[in-house]
Amino acid sequence: MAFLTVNQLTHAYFSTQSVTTALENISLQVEEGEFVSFLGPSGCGKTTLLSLIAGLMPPTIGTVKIQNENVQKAHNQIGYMFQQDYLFPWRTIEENIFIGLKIQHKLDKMSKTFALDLLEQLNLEHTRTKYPHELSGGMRQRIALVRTLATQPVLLLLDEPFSALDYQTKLKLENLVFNTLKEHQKTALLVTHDIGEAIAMSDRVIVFSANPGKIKSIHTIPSELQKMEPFEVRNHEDYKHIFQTIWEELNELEVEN
Amino acid sequence: MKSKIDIAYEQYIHQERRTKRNVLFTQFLLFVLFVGVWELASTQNWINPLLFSSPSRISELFINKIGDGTLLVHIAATTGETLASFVIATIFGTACAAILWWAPFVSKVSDPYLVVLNAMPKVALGPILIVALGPGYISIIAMGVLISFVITTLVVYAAFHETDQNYIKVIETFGGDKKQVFQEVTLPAAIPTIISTLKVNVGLSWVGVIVGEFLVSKKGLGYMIIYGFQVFNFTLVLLSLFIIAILATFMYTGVGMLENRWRKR
Repeated sequence: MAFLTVNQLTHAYFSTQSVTTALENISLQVEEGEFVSFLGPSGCGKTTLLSLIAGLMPPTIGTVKIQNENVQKAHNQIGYMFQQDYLFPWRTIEENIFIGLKIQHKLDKMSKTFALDLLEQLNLEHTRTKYPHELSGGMRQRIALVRTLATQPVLLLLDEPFSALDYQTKLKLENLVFNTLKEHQKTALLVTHDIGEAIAMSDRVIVFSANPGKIKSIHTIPSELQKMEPFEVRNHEDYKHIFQTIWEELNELEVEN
Repeated sequence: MKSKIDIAYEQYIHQERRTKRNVLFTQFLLFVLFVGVWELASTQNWINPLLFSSPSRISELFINKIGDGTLLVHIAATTGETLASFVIATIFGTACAAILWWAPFVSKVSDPYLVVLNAMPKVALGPILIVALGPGYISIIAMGVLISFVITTLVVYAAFHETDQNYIKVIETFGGDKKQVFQEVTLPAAIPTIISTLKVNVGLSWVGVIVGEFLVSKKGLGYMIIYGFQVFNFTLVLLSLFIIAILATFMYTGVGMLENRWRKR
């Protein structure tokens, strides 16, 4: 049995004037420890899919199962990273990284030590008593990563977490997140519209078409590239070919629409 | 040896200090001029001394009233009533806003009623309050509360409502419930708005309390004004006005300090 199973998922948004189908008949499976990317044009329902997997809202039709259990409401064991850090400006960094533990009533000496160790691993221990506005965008996103990992989630959902950063910071953070997740053996889903990022970070890339969101194709990245750090992958020869294939596919999608 | 930057910096600091001094000096000069001209105009009968009184008569009355202890009683009564209505209106208004945020159905149902309540001149309810609550300090505090709590509710509710959805989503992804969302995000995010409504409420509470005292009371600064008006003692009226202005400024400054302290965090 797969770690995560999405079974014939369809989701629609309602307003009094209209019905918008965001996702149609999505089925996919993700194994434990796998890193899967969702790639597609805007409006293909990628974020909707993450929200459904996180249990933030119930799907219109279909089911999501994590470790063979139906996801009904927000799952304690999911970590979610957003496009921006969304650190609470009125809390210090330390209070920010403890927030998940506090919400889940798991704030004790052990969990605190774990969170602070993570902060140290990312070379951020000097920021403990600072406030978010005193730090740079890259640092804040790294702290958001610590906040997400502090609750020890089994599944990480990354919703374009690098899109608001400058290019250099983005490349560095890709490596950092990749290594951190591999080290802690996390299963992760990444939503992105950056083809390079998807190839560099994932084991599999799932391409979506838009209006309504459907799975168009699935690309398995060669195992050699899977093991490499994202930055190395970007310099690898095969990278270009895969990039080219997906690029053409996405272009076709645009023409179809 | 001093570098050129140091010299330029010293000049800049010097200039800033001079500007500040000049502003303070001009402010002081204006005050002295105002009091002086007023006194002169009154003694020379350029203005009607019966109506406009004069600074010397007001300060004389002030010293007299402080001496016999009556002024302090009036000040204490009004300050107490104002503070009470200010605190009650803020807490009550914020609580109502929280209920509206918590239950969208209640908020939708009450929307037109709140609009009417807000548009209504609350002072007009004075006579009803007095009959219902009796001619005492309770009516006066109720007046002060009534005048400021509706606007507090509306403004704070708007702030609760406009909380960035993504911050709420952060709490929800950790499995937080609505109570936790309120505690950890909605309320702290709205604190700056709540503090700025405090500033508005200071002014409104004074209006409510003074009007309340006009209508019923036997003591307080509003009573002093209405009494002075009835016996045609405008020195008394003006004295009350000055004291109200000073007290209101103190309260406003206090709220301002609170705001600064929050900002620094």
